[in-house]
Amino acid sequence: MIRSTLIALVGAAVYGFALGSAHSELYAARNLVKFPALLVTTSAVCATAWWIVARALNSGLSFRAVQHAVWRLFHDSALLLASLAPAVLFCARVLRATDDGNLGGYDGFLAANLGAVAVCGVLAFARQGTQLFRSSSLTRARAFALATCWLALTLGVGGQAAFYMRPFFGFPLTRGNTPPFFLGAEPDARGATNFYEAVLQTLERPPLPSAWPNSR
Amino acid sequence: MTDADIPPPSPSAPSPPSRPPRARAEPLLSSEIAASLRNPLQLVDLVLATPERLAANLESASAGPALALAFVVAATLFAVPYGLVISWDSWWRIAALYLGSTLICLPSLYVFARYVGVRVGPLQIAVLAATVPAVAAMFTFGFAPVLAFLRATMESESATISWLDLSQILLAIALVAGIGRLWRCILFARGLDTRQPLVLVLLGWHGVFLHVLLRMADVLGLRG
Repeated sequence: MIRSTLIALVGAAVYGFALGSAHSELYAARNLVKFPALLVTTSAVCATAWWIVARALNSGLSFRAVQHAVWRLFHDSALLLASLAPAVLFCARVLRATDDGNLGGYDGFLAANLGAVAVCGVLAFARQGTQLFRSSSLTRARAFALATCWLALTLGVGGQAAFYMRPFFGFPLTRGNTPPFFLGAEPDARGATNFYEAVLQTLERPPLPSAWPNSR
Repeated sequence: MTDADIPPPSPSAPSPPSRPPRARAEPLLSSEIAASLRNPLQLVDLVLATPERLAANLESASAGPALALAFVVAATLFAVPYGLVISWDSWWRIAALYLGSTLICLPSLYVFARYVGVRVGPLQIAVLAATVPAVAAMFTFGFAPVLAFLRATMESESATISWLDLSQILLAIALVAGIGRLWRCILFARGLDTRQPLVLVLLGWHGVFLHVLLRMADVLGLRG
């Protein structure tokens, strides 16, 4: 478990560094700490809930075995993301060198990375779900139900943790600023103060405030 | 190829292999239940991991008092951390929400079940109903760190979605888990000779229970 945890943390740090390079060295360096912190925070907050859900689904997994299984998920996701880090770093440096100093390719870069995280997460989820099915007394349907519950919990908590730990990479416009290490509950561009509001606003797509981006 | 082209199976043809019959679960023993009252981890397993054994207890009407006590203890103790996260003086509110609503609605479940001819004792009905608050309390125990994290990282005054809104969703998930477990017990209790009327009564009873639970949530200040 220690090995898979360390690999997950290092993988997350490497990917975070590449991501932050799109903005500045400051963001890249901070992400070396922030991304592993994101994994550790999420797993610490979800640990008991993961275990209770596993018990409720008759998995027969102990608390330790549950944490091990979930960290294998993190391990696989982080490893896959770390393998993309050179490509992300290259794109980030190119974007940085060619952006207009305002929005640049922020939206495209964000979308591509969200896609990468989703693909890596789904691949890890499918593989670990299958392994869970093979190694425990669970039926295939129940193993995937368990992994789905874990994923939903992790997304809900991890999303809020990520929102709180912003910025991981920002608009080129903010380059040269030194924002706090975590922005916390400070409103984002559309005024969302937490992850769930941000998701709601993504769905409702309200317009940006008229004073933005000059107000940032 | 249409359905008409498929020859009908001959009576002598071997039938497809059927799934082996599930081994009949043993009822929980009083000694096991007593041991779980001394060890919280065993209590978690008793409440969450053994619906088929609990169903066997319902069928055989065995260990009723011990089971009822274990479920009430679980529903009370495991709900405390979540209440503490809401506020220090709310430690009792989650137990009051789930267990209180169940206790208020328990007489109606028993009387209606008996009235339509379900042959179960009051303790069997109490154990069955107590699965809801006990399982819900277990889930709130798991959600307590999540809520504490949300509370620590979210604004509550100006936010469109506050941690208290999300708390309501978590409490609803816990409730659904509890109701789901009750139905799993009923599903496993195939030996209950009056299961069908009990199912009908339970369907109606859920309406009463949910209504009381929502009112209870209002009274306890757990709804926005």
